[in-house]
Amino acid sequence: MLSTDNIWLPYLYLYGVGAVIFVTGLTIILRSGACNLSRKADRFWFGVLLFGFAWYAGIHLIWYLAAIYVMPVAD
Amino acid sequence: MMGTLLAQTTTAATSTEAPVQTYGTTVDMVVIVVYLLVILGFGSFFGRFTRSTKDFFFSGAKFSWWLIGMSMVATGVGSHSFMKYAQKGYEYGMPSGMSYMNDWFFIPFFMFGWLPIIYFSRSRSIPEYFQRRFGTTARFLAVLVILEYMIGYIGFNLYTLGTAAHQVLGIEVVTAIIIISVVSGVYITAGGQTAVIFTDLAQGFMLLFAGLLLFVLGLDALALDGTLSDGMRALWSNLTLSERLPLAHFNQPQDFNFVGVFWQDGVAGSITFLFISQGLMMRFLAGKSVNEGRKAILFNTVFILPLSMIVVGNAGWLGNAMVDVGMIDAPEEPRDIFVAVTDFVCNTFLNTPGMFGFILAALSAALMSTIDTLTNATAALFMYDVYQPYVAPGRSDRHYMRAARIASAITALVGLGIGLWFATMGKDMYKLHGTFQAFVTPPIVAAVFLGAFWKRFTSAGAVACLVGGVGCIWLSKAYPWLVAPFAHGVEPDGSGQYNYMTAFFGLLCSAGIGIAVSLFTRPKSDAELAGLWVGTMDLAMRMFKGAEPNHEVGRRVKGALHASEEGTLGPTAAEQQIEPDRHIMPNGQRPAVYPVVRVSQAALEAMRAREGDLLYIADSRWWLGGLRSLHCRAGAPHEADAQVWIASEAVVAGNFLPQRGVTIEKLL
Repeated sequence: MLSTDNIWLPYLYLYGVGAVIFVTGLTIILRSGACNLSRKADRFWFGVLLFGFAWYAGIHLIWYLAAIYVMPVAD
Repeated sequence: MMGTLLAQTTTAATSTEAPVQTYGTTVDMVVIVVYLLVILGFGSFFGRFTRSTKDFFFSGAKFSWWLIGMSMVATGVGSHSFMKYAQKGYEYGMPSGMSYMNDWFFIPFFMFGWLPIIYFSRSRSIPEYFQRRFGTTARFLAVLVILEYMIGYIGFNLYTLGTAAHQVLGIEVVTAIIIISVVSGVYITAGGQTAVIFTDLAQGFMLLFAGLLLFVLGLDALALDGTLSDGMRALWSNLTLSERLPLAHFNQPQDFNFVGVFWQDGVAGSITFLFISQGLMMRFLAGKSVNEGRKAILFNTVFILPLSMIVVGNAGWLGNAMVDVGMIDAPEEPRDIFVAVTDFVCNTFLNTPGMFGFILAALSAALMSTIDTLTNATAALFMYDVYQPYVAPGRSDRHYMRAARIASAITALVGLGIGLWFATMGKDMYKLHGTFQAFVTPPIVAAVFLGAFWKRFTSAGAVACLVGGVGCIWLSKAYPWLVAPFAHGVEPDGSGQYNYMTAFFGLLCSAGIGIAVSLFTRPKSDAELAGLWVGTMDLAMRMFKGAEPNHEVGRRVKGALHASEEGTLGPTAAEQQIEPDRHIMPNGQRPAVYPVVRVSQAALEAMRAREGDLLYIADSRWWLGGLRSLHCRAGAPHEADAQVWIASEAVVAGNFLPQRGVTIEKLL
């Protein structure tokens, strides 16, 4: 069990709960037919949605690593 | 002399008030006044492109993604954003910006759900969607809530800028509120949504540039005689580990922690911003197509929001470092850090007359661009949800156009009145506004979300969700221990309330009540729900186009306009042609009406278009963003290559310049 003082807990919570919301959204739009992957345009936008998730997860991860390893502090 | 009157002390008008330290000079005042006059003229210029209520509220639904996306920057950043996030940055470091970077999780719901629903169903306001999805009672409740939210928010923004202007320049709060209200009110009344979009485009650039300029100059000041990277090193080394991270501590302190901000802002705030903001909805409906709206939200969320986070928060990060190295004194109140840093950078470090005024003009830009959107949206809500259906139904568009301008002017005056009321009554009034919103926002968010994504959600469920949700939130305020199980370990504040987690509790209760009631009541028929929930988007496209959609991907073609009445139809003729069959569809939607143009067979093939498809013609100069453009239907092809045969009336309706080339693309 992670302590609430662990600096990685917010990151894991954000992308854990966020992934549940995000995947629920993808499931709804795919199953309802609103996003139809047989259409070229819809395939493109579905890829954009996945890219956006990775983009933010990546930015936050790099930011965390920079905070820890670039000119490290002791607090 | 004028440029060196630093930190003068003025006494407020009433002798009972304490002296106020001010920073601005006459040159700064001149810079701000010139800026306001330029925006006034620029915004009013667009009155000439506004001929109908559709133009006034939705700019004729024809703009490009970059214009929509860039103008959203200024709408999303209010004048209070600079003060609020600079204060948080000063107190907590870089986690101050976390609410700018947690919106992506709801983007699938928006891109493929809500955006196509409102665009294809031609809903002109959130309450109109409520009427068609849930019925009159839900619409009435939505009108009350959204009107209060928007007018109250105009007053709140005016009050915060008036207070800042008083603090910084020494001018009276009331004077500042009146000046800003009049300037924004005049150009909105003249130019409608087109003026809002183009002035917000300019003001978006202005506030991004000013915010980034402040950051660069601040780093330069921190670097002493070194380079900008030395300044960045000085800033970075000053921060503790927790101040460097992008996310705050999980659940401490109670007034700024990760889990509270996530549920209030990342969840409730994101849905509010994307789903029930009337101003934002109208901005997307001003786009030329759903795909342009998707591009705009992508651009805004992936690129602009992280940039905005730096723009609004950097004064706090800089201030933290400047106080630590003794460049500036720690402000008595953390909320004053933005002004303290701006004053130091512009007046002491740079010592350039007018630079401080430029930064403050950006603050005015942030305010005006938020207010103009809200004013236009409030007028639209009044027109489409009160005036047109109940006060004066069945009148001409010319009549409604005049009424829309009057509604805009009255909205600006009411906003001004509420701003002055807040200024007179002090903080208690806008706290009351904030409390009202805390009660009503979660239920309306839950109702919109369930309505758009769950077919089984009923009208009775929606009303129960709205009324029951408010009741549950009231209970949680009276008995805060109800929220404790959902609080993730966040402590209550001094009065025993859970500030952040009440939104989470309200969302859960509202959704739970709505779902429970829906399961025991009868939903609407499939025909009534067509186009109003996510499972009917193919049908929605068919209703929007008035024919089977064409999803083949073609390319744009270039052409020259040729005025011809042979086989073409102008807007009026197209309207008259469908008159005998006119009916409102079971879901309350109005039928599609488009002018008819003719292009060559080769052009149709290049666009992969067929006769009857929906086309978009625009002036070939991309940087106009669709200002001179028109949606139309493809008529029978002709044999003259590179010519677009178009009725004279349609040339006027699209604001086309006949000597200019155009580009044509198939939309659907």
